[in-house]
Amino acid sequence: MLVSLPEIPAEDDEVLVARARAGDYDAFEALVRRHQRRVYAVAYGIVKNAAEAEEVAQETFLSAFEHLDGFRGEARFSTWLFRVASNHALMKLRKKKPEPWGDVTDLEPSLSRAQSRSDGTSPFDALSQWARRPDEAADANEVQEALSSALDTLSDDDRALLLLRSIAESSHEALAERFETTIPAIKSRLHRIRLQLRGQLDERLHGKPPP
Amino acid sequence: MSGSTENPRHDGKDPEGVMSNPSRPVDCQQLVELLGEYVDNQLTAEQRVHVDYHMEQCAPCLAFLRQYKFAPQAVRDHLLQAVPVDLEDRLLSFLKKRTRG
Repeated sequence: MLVSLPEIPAEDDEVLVARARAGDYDAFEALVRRHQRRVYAVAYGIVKNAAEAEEVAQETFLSAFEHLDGFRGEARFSTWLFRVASNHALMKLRKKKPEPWGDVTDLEPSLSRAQSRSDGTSPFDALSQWARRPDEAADANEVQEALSSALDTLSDDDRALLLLRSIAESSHEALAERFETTIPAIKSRLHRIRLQLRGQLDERLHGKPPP
Repeated sequence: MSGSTENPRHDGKDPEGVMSNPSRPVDCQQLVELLGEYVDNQLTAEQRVHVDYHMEQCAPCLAFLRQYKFAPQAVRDHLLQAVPVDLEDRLLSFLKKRTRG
């Protein structure tokens, strides 16, 4: 299942930021409502822990509120917000030892279900679906499990880069600035990450090593 | 072509690469190198025609493209589905206490 989120026009953010800066608390709450799911998802993808992802979301929006006066719209609000969120998440992650994805409580273990399905279908149905129509295989437990472990093979920075691009929809320009490199380098790195992720998913869904 | 789990590759690689000579058709390996720009709509019209033509003829490359495009979207959806349903309420309550309390 593909998750649909409403398009967020940048100009609407600018209007809300201006109103919030003028003291309209409802406008600030509208910004929080608009971005909270993506902020949490980026944080969760980096820190791999639900409680810490929520702390990152709290810190990020608190920071946004405290810096409203300094935000004059020279950059998109969302770009700034997700940059702050990824910074908070990476800092939190680097203060502790890494945990395997398997310890995350709300990532459901699917292996046992895959081995004893009550509906009579084979876990390999998801594998063949992955090759034919990967978008329609997304609900399969096997795919969810594969996604978690495939993500864990990426470095922290690569994970942050991927999530800032795919969830926050950050531009190549913003990512180049965030990671202090060039736009071609960012594009090349994203390509390598996508290839790695595809290969890791394929390894897990087909049981073969990635190319 | 050996299957969708392997990096697609035909014989007869173009050593100059399609980026340096976009008028030449692409082979499987070159197609993989172009996928990033393909999904970001940053190929020239001529390169795009070559890539589209190749994929019409090459089922493993088409499967590879679908998986390449799908993987980041699947990660995105996977993480968005992990967002707690009551996150918004908790977040707004926390922020109200901290900013107005």
